Amino acid sequence: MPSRVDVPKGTLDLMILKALAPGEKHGYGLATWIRTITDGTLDIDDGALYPALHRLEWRGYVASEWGVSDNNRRAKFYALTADGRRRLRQEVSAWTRFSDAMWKIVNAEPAVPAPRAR
Amino acid sequence: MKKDDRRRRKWRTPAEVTGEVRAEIESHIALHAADLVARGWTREAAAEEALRRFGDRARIEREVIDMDRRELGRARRRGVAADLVQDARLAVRHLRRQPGAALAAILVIGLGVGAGASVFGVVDAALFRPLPFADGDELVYLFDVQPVAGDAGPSLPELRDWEREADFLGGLMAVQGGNARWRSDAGWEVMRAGFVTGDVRRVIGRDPLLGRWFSAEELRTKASVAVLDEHTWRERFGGHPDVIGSQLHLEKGVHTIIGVAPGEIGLLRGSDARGTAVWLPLREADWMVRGTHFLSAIGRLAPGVTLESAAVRAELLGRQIQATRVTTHGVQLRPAREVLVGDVGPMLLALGGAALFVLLAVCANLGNLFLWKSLARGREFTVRAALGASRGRMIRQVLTESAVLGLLGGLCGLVVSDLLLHFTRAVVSRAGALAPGSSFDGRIIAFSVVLSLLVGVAFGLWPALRASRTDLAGALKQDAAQLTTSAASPWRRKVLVATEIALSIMLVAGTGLLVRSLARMLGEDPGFAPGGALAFRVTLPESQYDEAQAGRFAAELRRRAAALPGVVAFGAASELPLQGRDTSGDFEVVGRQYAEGSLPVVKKRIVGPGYFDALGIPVLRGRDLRDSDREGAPDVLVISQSVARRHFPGEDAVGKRIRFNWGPGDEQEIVGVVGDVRHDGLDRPFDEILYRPFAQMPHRGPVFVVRSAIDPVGLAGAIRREIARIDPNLAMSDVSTMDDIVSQAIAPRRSLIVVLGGFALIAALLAAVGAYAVTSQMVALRTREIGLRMAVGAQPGDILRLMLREGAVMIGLGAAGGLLGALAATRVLAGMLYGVSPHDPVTLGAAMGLLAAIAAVAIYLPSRRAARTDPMLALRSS
Repeated sequence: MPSRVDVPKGTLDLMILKALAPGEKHGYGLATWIRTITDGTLDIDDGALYPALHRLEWRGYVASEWGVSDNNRRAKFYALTADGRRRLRQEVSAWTRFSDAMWKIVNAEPAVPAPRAR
Repeated sequence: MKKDDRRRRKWRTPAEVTGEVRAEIESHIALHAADLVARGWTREAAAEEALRRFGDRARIEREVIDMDRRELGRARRRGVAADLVQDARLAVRHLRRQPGAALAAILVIGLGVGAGASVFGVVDAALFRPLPFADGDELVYLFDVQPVAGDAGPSLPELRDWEREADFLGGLMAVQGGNARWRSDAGWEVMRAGFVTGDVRRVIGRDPLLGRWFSAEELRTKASVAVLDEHTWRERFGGHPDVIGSQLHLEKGVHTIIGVAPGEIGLLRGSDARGTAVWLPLREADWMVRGTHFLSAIGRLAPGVTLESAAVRAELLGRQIQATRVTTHGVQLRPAREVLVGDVGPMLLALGGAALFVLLAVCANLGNLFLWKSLARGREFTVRAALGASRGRMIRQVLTESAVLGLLGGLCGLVVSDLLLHFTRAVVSRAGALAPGSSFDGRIIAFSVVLSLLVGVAFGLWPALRASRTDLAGALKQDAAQLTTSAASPWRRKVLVATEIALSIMLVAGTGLLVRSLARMLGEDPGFAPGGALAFRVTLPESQYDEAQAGRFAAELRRRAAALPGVVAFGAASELPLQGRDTSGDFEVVGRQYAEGSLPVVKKRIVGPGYFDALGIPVLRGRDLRDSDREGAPDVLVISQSVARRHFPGEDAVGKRIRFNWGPGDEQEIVGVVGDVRHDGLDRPFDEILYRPFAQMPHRGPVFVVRSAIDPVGLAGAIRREIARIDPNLAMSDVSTMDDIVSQAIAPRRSLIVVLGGFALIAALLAAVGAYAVTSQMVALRTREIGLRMAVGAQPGDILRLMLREGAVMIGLGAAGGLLGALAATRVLAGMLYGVSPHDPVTLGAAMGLLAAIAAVAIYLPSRRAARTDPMLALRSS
């Protein structure tokens, strides 16, 4: 298993919004979803999701409600709000442009070093 | 999520927030562990793995809890603000739906708050507002206590004694008011000068606006420097900062301007309300004589010295100086506020009482208005309560509504008080000078806002509480009219109107008493004839005019003025009546024995020939002073009739000899007796006065009086030209007719009448509106009853009588209350009345009659409408 990758600041929100796009999830469900999709490449503690979730909720991007999980346990479920969906679209487009740009930079031909002045 | 749930969550307690976050994390770990167990982990290993994967649980919990609490607080505050905005918007919308009622309430509150604020401005200035000087509470005035004449300012030698000895003072300065002649582009002008000496910088305690104060050296050497007053600087020098270092041409020579003093400093001169234009070093040498008491001595208490101990130590200082036998005078120390404000207690009480009455009348009026409105709104609230509005929310909305109403009223009140403030300030002229010139002043605004909120909210709370108590089902079933009748206790409303009538009667009675007093005063003989007389001063440059030359100038001016067409008489005097300046001293009749310290004290004047004629004071016996009563001739004097009556009863005073320790000559012969004059005020008794001639007792700065057969104001120009012909460098100043001087003397009284009369008018207006409104509403409520009565044969006259009977109750109650109230309240005015009893039956009766008539008209108009009701229409209406 390759070494795990640190998560750049700010990308956690995008992950959470994306994870909630298909439908409501509780915190553990979110963690599992991210781990599964990324094959566990990302170095995220499960707990790190919670400050992000609550922050998103206060900003009105997600809403939460207590409910009952599949295996009949009490859990707090999060769902995207209308604002959250809009936010997700913006973040995805920004991220795509950013990663395209990064890709180009990373794959650019190595530049010829300038001759040293004499 | 449901809205209710969200609202509930907004009001979670901090403990609930913590519990919820813990439960959420607990549930995460449990879910994870359960998952692992399902995949075959042991329970213990699963729990441990779930915890490990969660990370630093304690830190995350803390972080999330902190964030939730912080955000919750923020959201709550935003929510309250949003509710408030919503309430305010609703309030405005509601008020706009009933613009008439809202406007009435705003106006009524405005009148009450305006009356209150205009009085508050001067009461505050007199009693509470910090004096406009740096640490004004440390400032004190020192007086010279004379065994006979009472308190006076110190003479310069005394000031020097005090400066040396008074260790309880951190600084002592003195001011002398006077004139300085100034050469402007327009020629010579006279400007008010304050001549200062002593520790100016320490006493004033703040830097000038520009430049600096006089240095000790400059004051000692009487350097040619000047400090401009702020107002002069702005008006005459354009407010340019480069004025410092420029030159001021005074008759004593060119003075260098070294500073600009803040305008408030001029107030330090206290009794002299007129502004000081320029500050100059006092020319000490001219004044180093004990017995010339012309200074205002102002000190600043030394650090740590209380007012009480300073007062005691000042008195001790006085005794200590007396012990050295230089003088028999003592020392008295009084706080600056007391001296600057003067004795205004009775005036403030009268103003405050009147404002309180207006405010009470306003409250009674609002009570009526809101009571009426609350009935109409009762239904609205019932409906809203039925639709689920919470009681708290409804009360809050009503309160916001009344607060908005109150604040709008307060704003209106500020405008009203700004108009009134001019008059309330004039009532207490000296304290008024300390008050702000406009109501748009921090303290007055704060007062108005608090008062208007109090009034608004008090009257908003009443209907709100009442509405929230409403029994839902019952109220919804009732129709509006029934609801109104049952809730409107007509008695309560009639008592409110009666209260307004009573308060108006009290105010009208108070005003009436003052008007009668003023009429009595104006009817009194002042002892002189103000009509046709003009007074003015001419300040002579000391460098060119010694006392003999000043005398010659006066004689020459008199000769020239007498030749002017229209001039009947011309004279000069050291002081004029009713101007607040005074000097007094003791004398003895030659040949009589007096016990130690019991010499009679009289006012003393120096006058020139022609003065009595010019002022219109009759010469009763003997003769007027003449040009021949000059130095070298026998020393003579003229006495007032009251002196003759007291000291020479039953004998002819003319020819008797008096020993008057004032001016040259040991003894003087009485050559004439003149009529009495009221010197200190039209409401004061005649004064005992001794008059000595100028020629035997030169005086440098007399007031000239000219009597003319034509308009005296028109004469001023001709006299100015004559003065210029004698000496083109001389200027005329302080020109005013004697009528103006009389008018000035009664100005505070007139202002009090204007204020009280204004308040009375407001109250009477409110009473009329109240009586009208209550009667109209009664008529409206009883339309059906009236219709029924008429249908069964009642005549319009019967209906009119019915309604008027109801109104008569209000008037009767109000008149009775007003009479009792006036009997009690007018006592406050006793000290300000002249020749009228505070219980004067004519005034009280007239006030009652006037208000009864006003109320009767207000009640008659709607009653007549009731009597014209068409019975068919009335019966059909519901």
